[in-house]
Amino acid sequence: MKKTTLLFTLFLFATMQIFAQGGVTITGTVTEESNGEPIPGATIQVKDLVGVGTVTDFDGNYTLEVPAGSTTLVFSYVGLLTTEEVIGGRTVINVALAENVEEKEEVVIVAYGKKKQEAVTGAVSTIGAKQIADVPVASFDNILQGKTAGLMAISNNGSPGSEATITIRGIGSFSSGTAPLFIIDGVPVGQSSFSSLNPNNIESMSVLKDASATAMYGSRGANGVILITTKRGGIKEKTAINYRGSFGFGTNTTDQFTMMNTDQKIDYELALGLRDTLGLGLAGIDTVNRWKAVNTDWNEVFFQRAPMQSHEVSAAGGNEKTKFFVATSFYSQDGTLQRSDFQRWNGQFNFDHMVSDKLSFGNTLTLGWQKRNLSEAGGGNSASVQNPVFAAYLSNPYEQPYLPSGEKPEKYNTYPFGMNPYREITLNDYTYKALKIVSSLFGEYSITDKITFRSTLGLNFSNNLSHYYTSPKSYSGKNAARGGKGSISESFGTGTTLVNTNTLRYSNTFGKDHSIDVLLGHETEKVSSGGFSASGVIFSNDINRQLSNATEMDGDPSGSFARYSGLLSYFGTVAYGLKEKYYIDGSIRRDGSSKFGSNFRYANFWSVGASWAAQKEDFFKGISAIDNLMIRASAGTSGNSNIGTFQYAALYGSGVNYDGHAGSYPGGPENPDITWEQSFALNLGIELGLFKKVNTKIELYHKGSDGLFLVQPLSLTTGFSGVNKNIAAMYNRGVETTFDYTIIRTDDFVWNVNLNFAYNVNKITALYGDEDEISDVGSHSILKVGEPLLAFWIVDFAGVNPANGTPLWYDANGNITNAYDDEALSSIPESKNGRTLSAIAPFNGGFGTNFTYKGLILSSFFTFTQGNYIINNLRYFTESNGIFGSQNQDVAMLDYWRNPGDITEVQELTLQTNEFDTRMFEEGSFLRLRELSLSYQVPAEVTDRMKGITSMRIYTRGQNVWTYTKYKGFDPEFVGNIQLNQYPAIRVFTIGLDLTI
Amino acid sequence: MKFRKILSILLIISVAFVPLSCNDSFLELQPATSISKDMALVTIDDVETAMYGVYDGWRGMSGALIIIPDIICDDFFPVIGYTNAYGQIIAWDYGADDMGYVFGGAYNNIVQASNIINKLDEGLISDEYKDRKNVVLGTCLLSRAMSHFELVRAYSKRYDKATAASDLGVPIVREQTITFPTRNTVQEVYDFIFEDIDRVINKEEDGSESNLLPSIANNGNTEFSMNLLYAFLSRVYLEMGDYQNVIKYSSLVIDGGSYNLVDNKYDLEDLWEYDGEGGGKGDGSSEIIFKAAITITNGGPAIGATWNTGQIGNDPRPDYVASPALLDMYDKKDYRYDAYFMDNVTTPRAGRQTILNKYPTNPNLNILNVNQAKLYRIAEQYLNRAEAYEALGNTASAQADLDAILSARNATAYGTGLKEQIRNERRKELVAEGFRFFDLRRWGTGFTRVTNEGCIKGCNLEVRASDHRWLMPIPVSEMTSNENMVQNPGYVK
Repeated sequence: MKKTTLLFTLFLFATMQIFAQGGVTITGTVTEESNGEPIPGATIQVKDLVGVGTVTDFDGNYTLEVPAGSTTLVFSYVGLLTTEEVIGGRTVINVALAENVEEKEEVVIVAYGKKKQEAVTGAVSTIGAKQIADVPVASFDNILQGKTAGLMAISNNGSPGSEATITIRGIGSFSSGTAPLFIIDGVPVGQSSFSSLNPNNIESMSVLKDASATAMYGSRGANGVILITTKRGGIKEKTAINYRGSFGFGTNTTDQFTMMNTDQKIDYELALGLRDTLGLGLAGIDTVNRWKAVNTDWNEVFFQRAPMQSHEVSAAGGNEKTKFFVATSFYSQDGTLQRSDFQRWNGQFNFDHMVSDKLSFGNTLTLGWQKRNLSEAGGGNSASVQNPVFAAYLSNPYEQPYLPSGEKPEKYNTYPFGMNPYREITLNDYTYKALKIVSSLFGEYSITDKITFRSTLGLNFSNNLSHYYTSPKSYSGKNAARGGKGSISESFGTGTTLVNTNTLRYSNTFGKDHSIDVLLGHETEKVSSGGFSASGVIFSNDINRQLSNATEMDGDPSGSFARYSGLLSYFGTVAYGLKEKYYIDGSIRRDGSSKFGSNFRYANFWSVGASWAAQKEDFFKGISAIDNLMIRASAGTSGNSNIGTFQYAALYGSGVNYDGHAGSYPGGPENPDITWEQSFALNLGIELGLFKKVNTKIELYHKGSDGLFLVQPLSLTTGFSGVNKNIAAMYNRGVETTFDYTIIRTDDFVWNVNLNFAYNVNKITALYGDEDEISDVGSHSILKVGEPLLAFWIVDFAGVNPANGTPLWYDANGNITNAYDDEALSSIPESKNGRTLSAIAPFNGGFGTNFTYKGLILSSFFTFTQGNYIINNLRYFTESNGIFGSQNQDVAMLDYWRNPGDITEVQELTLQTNEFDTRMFEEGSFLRLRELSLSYQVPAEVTDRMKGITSMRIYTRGQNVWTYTKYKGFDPEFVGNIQLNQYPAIRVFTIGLDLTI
Repeated sequence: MKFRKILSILLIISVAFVPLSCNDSFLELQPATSISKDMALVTIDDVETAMYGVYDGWRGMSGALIIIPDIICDDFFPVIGYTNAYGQIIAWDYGADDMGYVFGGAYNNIVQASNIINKLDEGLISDEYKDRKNVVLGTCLLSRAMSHFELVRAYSKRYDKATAASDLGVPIVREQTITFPTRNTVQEVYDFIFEDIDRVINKEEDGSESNLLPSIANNGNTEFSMNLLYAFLSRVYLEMGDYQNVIKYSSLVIDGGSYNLVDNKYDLEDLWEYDGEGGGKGDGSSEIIFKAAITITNGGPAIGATWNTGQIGNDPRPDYVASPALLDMYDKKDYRYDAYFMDNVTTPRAGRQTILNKYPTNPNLNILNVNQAKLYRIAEQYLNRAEAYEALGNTASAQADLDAILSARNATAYGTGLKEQIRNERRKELVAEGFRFFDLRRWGTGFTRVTNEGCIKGCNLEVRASDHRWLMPIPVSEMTSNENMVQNPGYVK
């Protein structure tokens, strides 16, 4: 950057020299005070004489002709303190510029403003632009796992563009949303907006974890807050035009299923009696022998190598009064599953202008348009046979996707429901298009130099259209309603959040020792969403695939929804700093929400916090080893109101049609007492920096959540099955550690390691009424007081009886039984150390190392979770003891019990039973090499010789390169207790170029 | 410069305050797709609309009412490769969470009807609309009585005059309120049913009757009528063993002449394939007293899926097929044999079987396996009355009613003795219409399910009359949510 500035200023001053005549010539050297190094590109100007000045050369030397009558020179350089020198007849003036401490001091983005790092009393961590740059994923939330302690971001779905499941400091709610509040440049957004944003446009992300940091978001802050700030231009900054481009491809991360080949499968079917000669409509042995010529690897058919590319151009800069950042980008990624892909066009326009010393305004505009093709109806992890993940494993190896003629057969010989899923995928469409806009417009007016008024108007807007079409040629199209000539359904949705924030800030310092900062604010937020859907059937051709080409409606052809809610808030904070060592602050916020009845509409939230910059104390002055020692503590409350609207009122719904007459019906019982979920959080943090090499931070926290919504079952005689009540409670407690160690730092070589790690204990402390457990046999989970969320409730498999080949289980008392009874269970499977097994990982984090040698950077980043368990539901189908024997099975099934005395885990074949038990219960811990990258910054000496290029970087990068896990399913990166047909994470390799002119 | 400054301040203020107002009324919103209960039942149009919501409840319940009482008895069995639908209950090892009968649905219907009844009883809707009010009130009262009857019949012991005052019935519900009620006695429930019914049969002060409902429904057989009320009472009294009243009310329907048995296979085909709406060669509409209407646009339960899960244009894939013991009762010339069944069907994994075809995809609707539930039919009234006459020893009249059915269906009686023939004819006529479980319980005979090769579960099952499962279990969700609820004997929870 030094050189860039130099070139720029040289260019500027070349034209100015002509005015500098008839004075004296002054020479000198400008150095940096801290290390004595010369500064190239420092600016020297004659005071009060605009346009007369120069810059230092590569060795920090300068020569300036000063007009007669000049008195003072001004020396300046970015990041250093501007210094004035009186000429006083001197002809040589050497200057050492000191560090500009205020500018260098790290500033953290916090609620409704920024703070000096040491004044922050709460738990806030920052993810910088570098940590999210170059990511080859569509939705950057998928790469946040392990980036900062206490933030969990698990990609449940590898389909390009899908969202990750994000939680901060554990799960704090049963049913009303566990995702943090996301705010982009002051505008609250949903996570679905992320896939519309170009991650390279992000300047930083602040993760607010404790109450002192989140209480200012009141009723929405209980799950934590993530503040995203996009890049802006700089005042008096030369316009930098940047191009970034990358190419790459994705492959499937591997699973550990071992499916049968044709010979194995046919032997197995014969043993099962599926291929008998009873005339039950099944193929006989002769046919089966013909099938042996085929051995299809269905993984290769359904999974593909998926190319990706990304291109973007941005420009940033500014003059004295205006700064800007504009960017446009295109991103395209194919999915590893057939027919899935993602494309995005994104635009960013950020602008700031100072009208006068007192008044400024600006805007932020993020535009994203995306189009996705999805591999199956619903796009998710459904158990539909049309889900290619399901089909990739269950399709028999003796079937083939293409006939020898090249045509795709419509039906397999044996596939369930007869169809060929590969043909279905290729014939039918499922697309999703969305336009998302996040915009904020702000104005700021300094009433005095101590008091500033700021107003922001934010808009979060989205439109989306999904289009699902089954071709009249496809099997499902032939089975569509009203004659089987294809079908279509389309739905359109739109959502708007309007938010208006007004704040009045008073900042002042009294003497040297006292600083005070007061903020008063008012905010209104209006959320509305709506949409409609329509469907039709009977297509006369396969080319025109639109709704208007459908001949008839299908059932109730249209539906719609419309929802809205409002939030009205008042808030204030006071922060006081003493001697730049002791800081305390407090905040209060009052929120009113239209979601609640008039009795319980408003709630108050508060926080207090303190921090102590201990290293500034005199008694630490002599200890040079300690660079930094900070202690922070905070307490406070926040809330969660992420529930449906109008639950407080007894409602009547309409739109029912009985025999052509409009009908209405009671929609739900009256529920006037419903109100916010509340949480109370405590945080204690210690930060320590040693030898200018080691930085470490430890935080302890407790978050108790109360009045959590749980559907309390009602007597069915009320006409309703249940009602949402603020009745349950739980807590999350834990410890977070980050550690950063610069092992070697020389001029040319830097080696750094970093680690972050979090341990969270989640415990339910109350359910409704006297209930201390609620089991859900269907989802194999249990809610139990004293245990974590998503605890398992599943019958423990005890092996196969060697005497007769029947399966055995443990009963509630730990005795072995041959009767499977999922209702009579009274205990949860426990690990050997007695800890209850849950689907939520208590341990998680990330670590990485970076080597920098001159312009070359090699960096790696690993992420991990430990201690969670998953029911690998696909094994219910692939290891089905013959129940699903007409579909392909895992080779493990060949080891079935044959003779008395056989020791095996697979029961005798003719029993034809397949129960849900701990056979498919697996540990989900994993260690994943998330990122491995090598980048090379072309040296300035080289770029200087390339006309017009100021900076150039090339890189290669791998995402999800390697995974270690014991889990046998698709992908251990998963949140939930049962995994079935998950779209696996993509492993992506890219090469890229980053060019600035 | 000053002007510019003022302009700037105005700009800021306009950004700050114009877009969103900020007082309390900002939070007073009304939902977009629902209205509050108070606003839902104000005008005559409102209560009529709500009444159609009540009817819609019957459409929702009709699947369970038709399928469950039949599928668990002796007329059908599941075949190899079935989808496991009703797998738990057909083997008669069901517990409290397996039944899936109409407990919640019936109470929802009762609450819906009660809201309207109570609103009308407030008298706030003008008498200008007396006729329309009467129909709405009559419909809701009858619906509430019918729902209470479905509940007390399924979840309580059969009515026995001697013990009814102490036998556990079901909770009586009269309004939408959150309570955790206890079970009323069987006697109280029946009394409440008649209380509602008596309001529909409105006795004027001068002793004449001015019924709330029309004799035949305004909208044909998809709405309630006095004839339906009589047919319902016949069914209630048969369950109670009050044979005089069975005869009285069945006769009102039969002699009223509005409904007639059809006597040829085309009309019978129209009745079962086209729901009596025409489109084929015949007209079977005269047999239907009430059916739960399904139209193309609102859909409904796919009752036919239980007996044929196949897709249109493909081979049938039955879950359940007909028992040979049932099929043996039909003459080959019996019109019903062709109308009700498809024989010699090749199943994917269970060889050749005979499947029920009483609920094919109605071609007028053309929604897979959707066919409207005929919940009340004239044939039942003949069979109710025959059973009542026979029980009272009036064999000639009983024989006449049996003969009416036999001649209309071109059938011969099966079995020995009049009583057995009436029972067998009831089984043949009303198969898969939701009667079998309650008929067998009323007769106290128990059953043996006769099955073919290809049966996968509950094969040749024998159930004694003493089995505790003749009383359906109160759903487990009710047991856990309502601590005042008492489970029926023999069930765990």
